[in-house]
Amino acid sequence: MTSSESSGLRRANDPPVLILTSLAGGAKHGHALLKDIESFAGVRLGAGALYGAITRLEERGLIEPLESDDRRRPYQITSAGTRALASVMTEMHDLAEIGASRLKLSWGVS
Amino acid sequence: MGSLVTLKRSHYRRFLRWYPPSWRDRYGEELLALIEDEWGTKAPSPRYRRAIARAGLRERAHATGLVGQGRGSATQLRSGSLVVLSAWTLFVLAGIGFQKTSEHFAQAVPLASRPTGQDAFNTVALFAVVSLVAVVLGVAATLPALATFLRSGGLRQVRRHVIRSVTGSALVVAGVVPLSLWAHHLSRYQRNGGDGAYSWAFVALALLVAATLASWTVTAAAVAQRLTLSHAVLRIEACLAFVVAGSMGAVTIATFLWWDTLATHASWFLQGSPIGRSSSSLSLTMVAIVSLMSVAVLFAMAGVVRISSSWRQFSSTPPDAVTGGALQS
Repeated sequence: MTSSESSGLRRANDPPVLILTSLAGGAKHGHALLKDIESFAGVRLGAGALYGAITRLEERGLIEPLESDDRRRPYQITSAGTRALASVMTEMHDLAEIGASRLKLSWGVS
Repeated sequence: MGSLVTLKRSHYRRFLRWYPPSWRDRYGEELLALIEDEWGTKAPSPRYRRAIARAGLRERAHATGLVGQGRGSATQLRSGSLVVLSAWTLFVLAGIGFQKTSEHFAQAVPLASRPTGQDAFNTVALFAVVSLVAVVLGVAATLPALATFLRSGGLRQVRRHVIRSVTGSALVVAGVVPLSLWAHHLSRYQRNGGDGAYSWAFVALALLVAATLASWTVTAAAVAQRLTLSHAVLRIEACLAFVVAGSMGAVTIATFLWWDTLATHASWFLQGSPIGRSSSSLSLTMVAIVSLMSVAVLFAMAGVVRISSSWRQFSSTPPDAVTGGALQS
């Protein structure tokens, strides 16, 4: 089992991966997460899917809530979350390299 | 403006009813704030509402350990066992239908073919008893935990379920007595569809019985999810769930064999036609009974798969561990 599997993360458009990627750029609350994910991935997550993924990620200790007086509670990525995301990114990078080399794409992934 | 916001907030709050209470307490306000951010004063679209409902039901399944790995192997094992128990209740309904349909069948089958039908029927009866004994043993194993739960005021947590089930049972009793008295004044032909009013009353009572049985199953599941069960009791429950699911499968196969025998040698019996008259072997009653049995077996298999998938992890936990209910507050 790879470390990404053990953390419950799968591939690029998986909501947990998108959320972790967004939080890697800084803490955000629900609405800010949706906007950010839409801007960098072109994926419009639903509120139910977002909070389902947030629940699972918090259960696994990959993200944590920040103190807030507002109802819009921000979340930040934990060190375990950073490691899990790095593992997924490495797998995606390796896959992209193999695909790019087999397709002889000029952009190549170094 | 303030009242409009309050109105919208109370409207949005209705979305949260799909989610389990513990989830609502933790994430409810955040989700409401997000919905407000997304929709403002507009009403969310039906598609959006459906997505929220689906997500809420998924969270309920997670909270009870029916899906996902987050609740731990003990909760998953308990949920798998409860799925089998629920499937068995559905199976009992089909069994009651079979018992009614198969009454006096032996006289209908020609002597030469009688042993096959009788063997199939005996197999049905044998495994029905095995499953019943397994369920009774499963309930008995939880009695000490149930006593502790009740002593600590647990009844308050499930009062709504209990009241609904007791009310249903009272209605069933109130319906059975007059219907039985009515039946005494009817001929066999009238009791078996000849009297329209009686038939409708019988169907209504049957539906009430089914609803009450379902209500008691929900009550039992609600209580079982709140009991603190030892490692050993959970292991017993899981083993008994396998026995119940296996017995249900055996009963279904034997029912098919019984049906096949009757369809071949006494199809008129299945249709309620006069003796010896040629009839279709495709009895709607038997189709309904076997379909219900098959659906129940599929549910039971889903429970067994859930138990199997969590068994290894559960077995590796310390045997003296005591596991609290999935819905304990």
